[in-house]
Amino acid sequence: MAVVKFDYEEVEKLSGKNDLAALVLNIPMLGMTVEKFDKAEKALEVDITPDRLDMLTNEGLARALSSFLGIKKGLREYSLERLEKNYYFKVDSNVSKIRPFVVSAAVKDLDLKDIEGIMQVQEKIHDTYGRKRKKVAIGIHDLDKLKPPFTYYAASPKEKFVPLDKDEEMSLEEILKKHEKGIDYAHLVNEFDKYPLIKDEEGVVSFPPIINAERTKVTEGTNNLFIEMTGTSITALMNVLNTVCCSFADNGGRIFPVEIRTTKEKYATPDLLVKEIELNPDEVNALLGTNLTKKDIDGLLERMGYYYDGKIVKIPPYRVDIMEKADIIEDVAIAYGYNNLEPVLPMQYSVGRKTERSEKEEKIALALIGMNGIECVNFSLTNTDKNNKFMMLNKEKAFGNEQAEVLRNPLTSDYTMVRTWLIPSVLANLSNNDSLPQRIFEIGSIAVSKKEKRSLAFLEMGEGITFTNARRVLETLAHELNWNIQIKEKSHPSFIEGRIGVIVSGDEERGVIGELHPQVIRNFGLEYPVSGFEICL
Amino acid sequence: MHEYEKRILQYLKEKKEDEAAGISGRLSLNRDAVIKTVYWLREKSLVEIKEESEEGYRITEEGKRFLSNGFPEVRLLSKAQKGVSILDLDDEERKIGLPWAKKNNWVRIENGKIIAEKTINDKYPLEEALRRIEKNERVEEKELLGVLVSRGQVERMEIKSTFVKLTQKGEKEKIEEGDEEGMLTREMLITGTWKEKKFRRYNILAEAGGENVGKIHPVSYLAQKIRNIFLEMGFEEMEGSILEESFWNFDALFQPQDHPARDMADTFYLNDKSASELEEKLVLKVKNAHESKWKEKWDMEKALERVLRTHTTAVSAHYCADIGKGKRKEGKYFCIGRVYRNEAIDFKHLAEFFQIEGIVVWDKANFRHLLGFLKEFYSKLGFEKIRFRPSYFPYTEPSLEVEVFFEPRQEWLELGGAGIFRREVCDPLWGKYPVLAWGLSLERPLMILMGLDDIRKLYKNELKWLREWRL
Repeated sequence: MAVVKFDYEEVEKLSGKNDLAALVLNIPMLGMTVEKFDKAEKALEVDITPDRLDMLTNEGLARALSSFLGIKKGLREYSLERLEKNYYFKVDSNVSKIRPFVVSAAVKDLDLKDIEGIMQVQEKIHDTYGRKRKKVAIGIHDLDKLKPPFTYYAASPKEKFVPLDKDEEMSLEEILKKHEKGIDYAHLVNEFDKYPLIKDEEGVVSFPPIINAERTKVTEGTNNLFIEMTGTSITALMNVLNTVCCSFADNGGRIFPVEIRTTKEKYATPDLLVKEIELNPDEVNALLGTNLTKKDIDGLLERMGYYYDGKIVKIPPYRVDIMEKADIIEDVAIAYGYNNLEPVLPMQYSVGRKTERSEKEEKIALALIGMNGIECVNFSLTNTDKNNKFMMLNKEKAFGNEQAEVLRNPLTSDYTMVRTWLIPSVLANLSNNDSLPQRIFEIGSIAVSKKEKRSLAFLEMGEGITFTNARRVLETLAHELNWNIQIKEKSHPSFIEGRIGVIVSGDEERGVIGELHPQVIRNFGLEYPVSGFEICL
Repeated sequence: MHEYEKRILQYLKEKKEDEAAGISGRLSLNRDAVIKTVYWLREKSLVEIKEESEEGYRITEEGKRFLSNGFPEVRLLSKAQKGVSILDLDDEERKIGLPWAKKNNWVRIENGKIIAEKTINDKYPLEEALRRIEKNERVEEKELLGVLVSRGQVERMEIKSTFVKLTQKGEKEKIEEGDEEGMLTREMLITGTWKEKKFRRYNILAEAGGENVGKIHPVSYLAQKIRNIFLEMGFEEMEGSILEESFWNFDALFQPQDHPARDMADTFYLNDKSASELEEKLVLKVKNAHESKWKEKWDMEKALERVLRTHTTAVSAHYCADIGKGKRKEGKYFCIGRVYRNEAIDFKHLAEFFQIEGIVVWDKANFRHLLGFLKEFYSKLGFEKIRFRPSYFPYTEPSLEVEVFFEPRQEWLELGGAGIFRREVCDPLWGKYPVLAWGLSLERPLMILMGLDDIRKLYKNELKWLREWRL
C-alpha cells in the first residue's frame, strides 16, 4: 500500500466537480483509505492499494472519481501522435544480461503544475510496482533539452557526466560510491563490469536505474517531457508507461511514441491499447449472486470507466491490473456498492467437526484448570539463551537429539529461533511477586527436526514443592485422558539429578518430569523451588 | 484469636515493629496471609499500620542481556577501534548501537567506515546504573533511569511496604487459649464437646481476598468460542503447520515471486531449506498460472524456501489441493492458528499472532454468500452491525475488508479481509471455482472486548492478570 499526497486543487479541477469534500466521501467505496483530508489546509492523502497503479496520480484519482459519480462515464480512449522520424532508441545487445528492457514516450504541450506530484508518483511506483527500481525505473526529462535519437547500452564504469543536482562530472563508478542515490541503488548494478546508460546525440541522458543527468532536468515552465523506463520486465514497463501516459494525456499532453530498435526487433511504445475481455451477464450473476441485466451491468461498468455491449468489455489502457473476468466482476460489485448487496446464507446442510487435536487440547486444559492451573499463552519464537543456556543445555537438547528451526533473518536477538520446548517459556511466566504456590501450564507449538509439534508444559512453584507435586498432577492428568505412560529415570542438565525422569509411552520417550535445577531457577530470577513436566502431545 | 494473629502478635512483642515482608520471612507465612492478619489485628487496635509505596525499578530481560553481552554501543565502539565497516556489525549494533554511539559522540561515519572518536577507558554510566539496578541498589540519577526505561532495559514498578507496629493495647494483650473457640474441629464434632463450646465471633465483614483459581487464557478462551461458532455454522476444522514451504504460503496463492510480502523484511525464512517433495503436476499448474498471468519467470528454488507461515491461508491452500485430489470433500472449513510476520513489536504489532481462517469450497458459492457468512459469524460474536469495503489481495477477486460497529466506543473497527479466490488459485489446486475465503484477526476483537490498548498485554502472562481477567 502506498499513501499518496494529492494536489487538492488539481484533483478538484480534473474531476469536473467543484466540491472535493463530496468526492472524498466516495474514495472508500472504491477500496481506498483516506488518510488525511483537510479542506482548510487543502490537503488530501489517500492510501492506494498496490493493484491500482492508475490511481497514484492526480489525474488517475480524479478520473476514477468522476466516472464513479457519473460526471464523465464510460471508456476513455487515448490516441497517439504520429511517430517522429528521429524518435527512436537503439538498444545495444550488451544490456541484455544487465537490464534488458527500455520503453519510452514523449509528451508535448503539457501544462505542468504539479512537478512535485510527478516526482512523488515516480517514487511510489519505484518503491511498489517497480520493486525498489529493480523491475521498473523511471526517468523523466525536459524534451527540449534533448537531441534524439537515443542509445541504450552498457558503458564503461569510467564514463563521465554531471548527475542531477551536482555541478561537476562524476564517473559511473564514482556515482555508485559517492552519490546518495548511487549508494542506495548500487546493488542493482554492482555485480556487472559495465553499467546501463542512456545517451542522446549530445551526451548522457540518464544512468538507469540510478540517476538522471543534470542537463536534462525538468524545471518550472517545462512543457514537453521525455520519459524513459528501464527494467527487467517488459510487461511491467509497458504497464507503467501506458498508465503514466494516460495521466499526462488527461492533463492535456499529446503523447508521441518512441520506437525501440533492438538487434532482433523494433516496436513503438507506448501502445495505449484498449484491451477486450468477453463477459456474459450470467457469469457476473453467478459470482455475485445477483440478478443483473445486461443493461444494469453496462450502467455499472460505465461508472468504472469501461465500455460493455453485453458480450465484450472494453478496458481502458490505464487499467493494467485487469487480468481476467473476476477483476471486472469485482468492479461491477464496487459500482453496485458492496453494502447494497444483501448478505445471504446458502441452504446447504453440513456438519461441523473439530480436529482431534482441538478436542484433546480442550480436554487437557479443562483437566488442568480443574487442578487450579492457570493457562499461559507465550510466543513460540525465542532465542538460544532462553531455550538452552538458561536451561543449562549446552550440546544437550531438551528432549534428545532434535534439531531447532533457526530463523535466517531475525529482526532482533530476542527472537532468533522457534522454541524446541515449552518449559523455558512457562518458567519465565512464574513470578516472585505473586501468591504461592503457582500452578501454571501452556499447551503450544514447538518445532523440532523440521516438524511442528504440540506440547504441554506444567510447572508449580512454591515453598516445599517437590517432584511429588508434579508427579501427582501428571498421574491425575493421565487418568483423566486415559494415557498409558510410565516414568523412567534419566539425567537431564535442567533438573536435579535423581529427581528427573522421562515420560515414556510404549517405546517412545514423550517428555520429561522433574524438579528444576537450582541454577536454572536462579537463571530465571526465581526464588522458590519449581517442579513440573512437559509432554509432547 | 486466630492462630496467625497469635503468632504475629507474639513475634511483634519481641520485635515491636517490622515490615510485612520481614514478618512473612521470619514466620514462614506467605505475604498475603500476613497482610490479611495484620489488618485483623488493627481492627482490634492491637497494631498500627503504615503503608508506603515508592517507585522502584527492575531490570528487563533485554537489560540482563546487555549486561552479559555489553551494551550494543560499547560493543560497537570496541569494534570501531579495530576499524570495521558498517557491514561488520550485527543487527543490534547497527540498529541500536550506532545511533547511540553517534549520540554519545563516540564515533563518526566516513565512507561506510566507522571511525572511533574516543577509546573505552571510562565506565559507561548507563551500564553502571543498570548494574546497580540489577543488584537492587538505588540509582539516584533520574536522567540515566529515564534513558534506561525509554530504551527498555529497565522497567518501572511500584514497591509497596507495609510497616506494622504494636500499639500499647497490643503490648498488654495476652496471648493465651481463651474460652472462646476459633475453628470447629473434627475432635469437637466426634466427641460432642462442641455442645459446651462458645465460638468466637468472626469479622465476617472483612474481605477474604478471593480464591486462587485455575483459569483459561483469554486468547484460548476466544479461540474456543470462535471454534464453537464455526461448528454451529457447520464448518469443519482444518489443521496445518506453522512451518511451511513458500510454495504453499505464497505461490499456490498466486503471490508473485517478487511480491514485497515475500521480502526478508516481511517474512521469517527458516535456515534449513526444504527437503520435502512437491507434487510435480501441481507445481506445473501453479508455475503456468504465474508465468502466463504475471509474465515473470517462475523459480522452483524460491518455492522451496521454508518460512514461518504468514497467514493461515496456507492451510486453506493445502485443503483445496486435497479436495482437488479427492482426498477430502468439498465443503466449509475453518482454522484458528498462529501466523508470523517479521515485524517490530509495539503496542499495535506482534511478530506472531492468531488468524481466523474460513473457506467455502463449493462451485455454487457466490459473493453474497461470503457476505452472509461474515455477517453471521460476527453477529454470533456479538457485533450486530457490519459493513464491507472493497480491498485488494493478490489471491482474491472480488476482495473486501470487514468492519464492525463497536457500540461502547461508537466506532467502526477493521477486523479482517475476505474475498473469492481467483481462478489462478482455484484452478491449479481444486480444478473448480470459486472458493470463498476470509482471514480475520483474533487479537483485535479480543482487545476490543477486554478494553486493552496494548496488544502485548495479551502475551505478558502476568499471573494476577491471568487470574482476574474477564470480559
